[in-house]
Amino acid sequence: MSKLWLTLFVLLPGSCLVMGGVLALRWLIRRRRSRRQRLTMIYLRTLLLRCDGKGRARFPFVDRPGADRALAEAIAGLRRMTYGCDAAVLRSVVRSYDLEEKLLRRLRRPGADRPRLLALLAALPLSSRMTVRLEPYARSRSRAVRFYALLARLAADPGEALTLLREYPDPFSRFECAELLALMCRGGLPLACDTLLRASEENLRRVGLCMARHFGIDSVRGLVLGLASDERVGCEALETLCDLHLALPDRWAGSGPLSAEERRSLLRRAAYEGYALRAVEHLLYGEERIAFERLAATYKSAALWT
Amino acid sequence: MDVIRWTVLAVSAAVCVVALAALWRLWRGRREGEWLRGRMAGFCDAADGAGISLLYTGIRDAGEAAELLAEEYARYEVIVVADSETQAPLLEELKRRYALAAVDYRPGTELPVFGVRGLYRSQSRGFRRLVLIDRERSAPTDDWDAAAEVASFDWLLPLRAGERLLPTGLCRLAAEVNRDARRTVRVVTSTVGVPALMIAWEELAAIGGFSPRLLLRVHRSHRRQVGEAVLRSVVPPPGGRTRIAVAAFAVVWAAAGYWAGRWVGLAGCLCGWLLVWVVARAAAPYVAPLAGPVQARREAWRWLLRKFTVKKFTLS
Repeated sequence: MSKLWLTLFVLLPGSCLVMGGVLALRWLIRRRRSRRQRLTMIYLRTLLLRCDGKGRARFPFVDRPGADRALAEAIAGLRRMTYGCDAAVLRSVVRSYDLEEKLLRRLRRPGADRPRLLALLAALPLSSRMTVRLEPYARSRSRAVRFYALLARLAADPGEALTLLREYPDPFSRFECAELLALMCRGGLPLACDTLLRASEENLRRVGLCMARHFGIDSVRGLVLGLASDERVGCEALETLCDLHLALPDRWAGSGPLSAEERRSLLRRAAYEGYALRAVEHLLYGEERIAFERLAATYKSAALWT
Repeated sequence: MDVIRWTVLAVSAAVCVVALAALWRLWRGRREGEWLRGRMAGFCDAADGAGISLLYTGIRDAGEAAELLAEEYARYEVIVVADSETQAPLLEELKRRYALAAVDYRPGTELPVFGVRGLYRSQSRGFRRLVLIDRERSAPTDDWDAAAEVASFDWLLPLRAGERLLPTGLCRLAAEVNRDARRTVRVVTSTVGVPALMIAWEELAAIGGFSPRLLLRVHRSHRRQVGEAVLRSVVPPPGGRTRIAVAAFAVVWAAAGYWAGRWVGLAGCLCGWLLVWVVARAAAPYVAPLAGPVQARREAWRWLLRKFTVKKFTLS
């Protein structure tokens, strides 16, 4: 009987309460998120009015909790979506609403989602003093925090970009290179491709190669060819040559051949980009030559048969 | 008898734990997916994203190829496998619509490929992404091997008949690969909704082609799991019989719980089912985010009740 009482009055109501709690929490989170999204839309319209030079439109509900983040997201969204937007207007908004300080305060809170907040900061027009204030995050144990701290510091002081990129300890992944390119597309990273390719650091070279591929800069062929013999970025340099449809090196130099896996990947890329066997045969070994011939034939024969 | 009772109670507890773990994984996957979707816009257009070859078997009409070709991701191709003996009109339709021409085909030695009659590529630059293989009908794994043999990209994503990509599904998979700076990832999987598996070409060649137990042959450290759905199914979900089977199973399980531990056992079973319901409810938005929000959620919820829960937690 005691078990029945235990079940009826403790276990069943308890589990129902837990379920109810979970659902209520979910509802609250959704409600908060939708409110913030609505606020962001209002701020975005107000920002557009300001950028158009139609007076000094005011931002409503700016004292509400979460409004600072909504305003920051609106500015970030505007910068992401527009080209040539007047940075001075946005900078004055950031300064007058003290967004830098408010977001830094959020960053310091325990349990804060630091990569997201740092990425948000990176999308704002920051003052150069933020480079120093964000320095502790550049030494974080989390790789994502370290990287987005770098991105925010680059956005704050683009003049120091080369130094900051040189100091970054981890090799960039392709995703991180793409993030840097996105910053570059917004005009936040004033670096020349050949400067990056001439650098001795692996990370700078990697960003340079990524930039050459992304923007189709074929004038740097000589520099990319020079990097083809590099131990760390050699494979990426060859991929860049393939993507730009440039002539591949005449022979393996320096560190020697790539791994079998990298060679096969390069072979498939070369076939896809339309290279003939004669253009790549000096880079292939044994059966790879046959494999490339087989794969390239599936592209070339169509032109002969039709 | 005690052993059976304890087994029933232990299984109920295990269902609760698995459901909670699934809920946690879904929540994390959703957060990460939302974050990546915000960051991926520029990345997916980049020329140097991971190249992905979609290997599609079981095509039924030419419109399916059009759907697969409509992805926004920059570096991917679609390799369709069909049988000219049983699907001659379909092959002709595909050739006509996409200006496909026969090209030279020589089988390789890395993968076990047989029965290929011909290979076709489009003469039109607009459909450069489409490759058609004419092959005698056999198991889907054999079709995928034949398609992988002519793949131009480093990553292979096999699809069964009726499976389609969710919007940004390819970007999500590619982002998972490209975030790995040390390049140790060989397989990316998603078990939410329609299960998906993307494997590196070299890894597939090393383990000798597609097989039902492919995942077990890849070392754990080389696997990566995505906590949200990347595929959807256009095949209608199982009908009334499955629903009756699920309901019957639930009743039988509740009865077993009552028999095993009286009211406590019954409460344990109910808790398990409630948790499964919460997990299914949480997973619902990922499965059908295409239609209007309310309707899609309702549809997805129905779909999950019928298929997902059965497949993942009870009958499999």
